Amino acid sequence: MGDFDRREVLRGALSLGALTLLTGCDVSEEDYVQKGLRAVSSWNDAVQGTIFRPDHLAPTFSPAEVVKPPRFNAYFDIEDVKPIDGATWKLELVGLVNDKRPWTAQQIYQLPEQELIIRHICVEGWDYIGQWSGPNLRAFLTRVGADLTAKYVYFICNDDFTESIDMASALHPQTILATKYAGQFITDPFGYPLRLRTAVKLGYKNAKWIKAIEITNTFRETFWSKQGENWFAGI
Amino acid sequence: MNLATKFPVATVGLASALLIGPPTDGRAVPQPSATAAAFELAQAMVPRTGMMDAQRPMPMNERYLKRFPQPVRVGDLIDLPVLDLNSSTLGFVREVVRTATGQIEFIINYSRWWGWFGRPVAVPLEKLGIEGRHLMSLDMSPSDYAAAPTWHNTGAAPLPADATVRVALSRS
Repeated sequence: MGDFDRREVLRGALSLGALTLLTGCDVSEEDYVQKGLRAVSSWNDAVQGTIFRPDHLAPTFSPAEVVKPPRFNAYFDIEDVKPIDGATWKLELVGLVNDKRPWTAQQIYQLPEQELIIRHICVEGWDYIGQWSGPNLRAFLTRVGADLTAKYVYFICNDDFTESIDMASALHPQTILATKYAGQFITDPFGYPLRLRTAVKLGYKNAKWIKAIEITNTFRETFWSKQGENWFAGI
Repeated sequence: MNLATKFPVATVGLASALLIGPPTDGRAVPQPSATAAAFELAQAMVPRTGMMDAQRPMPMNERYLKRFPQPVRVGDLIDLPVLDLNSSTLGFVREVVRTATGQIEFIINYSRWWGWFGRPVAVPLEKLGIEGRHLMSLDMSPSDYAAAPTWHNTGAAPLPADATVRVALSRS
């Protein structure tokens, strides 16, 4: 039984073009095609960053529209989720931050919470309304003395997963470090104890199981961007 | 929303191109280790929940527990579509019952035509996974549904809408 894979479909569509029929080659693997695609992707990131409105709010919804439980999604199957020990977990702060002392889950739970009822939009085509709460990321970064003029906020998560967002999106009023869903602490499959939740990015940018946050001016490819997904991924 | 959603020409026209190739545009890219490369390759081929069950046999209840069952209000389950592993609709949840032996079963209106004009079939809770606003039939194939007897209530108690059952998660 075949699994539907968007990238494979697109690649297949490209491959079935006239060139393929003539040459028998997979044109999408050619260097010049890859270079062209990379250039377009980079250009697209730049356009999205330029037209991003940092204070423009995404739509919000009523508690009655919240889907419970949230939909699980990760780069691995549900049966491979590795629970994190919240008692020993600490959030490390790296890079352009004045106060690099690590945070325990209990310390984070003491911070003022912001609630977002927003639509999660997945690049795969599905979406749902979710109710997330936790410290506002701008407030947290300000509290720890992060350089808010830096370019990137880079998230390092369990299992070598990485993700990053531009500083403008990190400082957006609807970007939080989520600790709760529908008023309850998030559970293992959804990123316990800490995950990103932002209304201005596609779902895959919302890093789960965060263990470190780095403030940096150096761009590094992330787990998904290395696999061909658009880095900026704004909505 | 940013303007990208309002000016699709700027982005959407390029989207198909973006989605195919890795966007390395000359920015500093760390060299992946062999482990990381293998990890990413493996990730790209992760099958959806349930697809590898035949290769990893285990008791139904054990597999259910590995899928992190979450509390779900029964009223939120009624009318949810139940999909097979090809995302084809098998039927819709009609009610949730507790059998005389204490098992939770979902009564699904099943038909081979996307659930239309279906007959009730009982499906154990442990064989389903929830993905937002639909359920996946993880451990019961379309042919199992076709072969299942039509359900008749012989002493099962329908659960009220405000009752809670723990449904496994799945990933497509």
